[in-house]
Amino acid sequence: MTKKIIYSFILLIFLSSCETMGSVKRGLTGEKKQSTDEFLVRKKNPLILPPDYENLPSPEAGISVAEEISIFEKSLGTSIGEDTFESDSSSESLEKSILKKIRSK
Amino acid sequence: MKKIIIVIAIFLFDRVSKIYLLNLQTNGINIDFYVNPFLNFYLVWNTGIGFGIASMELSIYYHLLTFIILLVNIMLIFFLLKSKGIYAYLFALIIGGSLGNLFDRLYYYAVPDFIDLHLGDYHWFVFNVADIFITIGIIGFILAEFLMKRKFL
Repeated sequence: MTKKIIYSFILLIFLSSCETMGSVKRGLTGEKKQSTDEFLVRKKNPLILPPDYENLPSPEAGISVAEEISIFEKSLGTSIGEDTFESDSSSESLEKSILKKIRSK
Repeated sequence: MKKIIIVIAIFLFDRVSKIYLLNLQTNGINIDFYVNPFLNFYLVWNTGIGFGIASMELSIYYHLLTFIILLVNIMLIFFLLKSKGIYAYLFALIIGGSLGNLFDRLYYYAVPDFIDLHLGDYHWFVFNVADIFITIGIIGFILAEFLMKRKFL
């Protein structure tokens, strides 16, 4: 009887085809498959605020765009919307004509 | 006649299960399904024999092993035809599964296994439908040896 049982087990091993996931050790310990290699992932430093963050001016405190344009217009003495740059028929370049306009004010 | 029908039925059931899963893989679906906390479907190819023993590259040893398995199958078919009663059905179970695995060894040069029983992270060997019937047959055979005094032939 013992012989027959041993033969049965040999038969089971020969005929069945159960397979481990790689090796017997891996099959028994349960490691399923290769996972991400944690050593290839670079650790990031945590996000921190700059040291003088509290002292930086907030956007509300600054001047608005419209104010900025009006200051610029004042310094030029003219409005940006108007066509102040007349096309000069002379051979002067555009840059020179602008400089001339500014100096003449 | 009943024995032959059982053998053919098990062989076809095993083939259908394997072809279905292999077709899924051909269609680009990775065979790695989670069914429940105890059962996964995960495809591996076995080039050796049971319990991951003698897995090897395709070589003369592979063909030698296939030839031995073929001889064992022929011997079992001989026993099947000669045996009577419960033993005949047990042999039919074993041969049905065994022919399924032998077919894969000859056709794919490896046996696809895909049923992964596990408890937490502890996995049992990955097996297939043919293995289920072979194991039932062998366990039945051992039990019959204990319980019945009759010889199987």
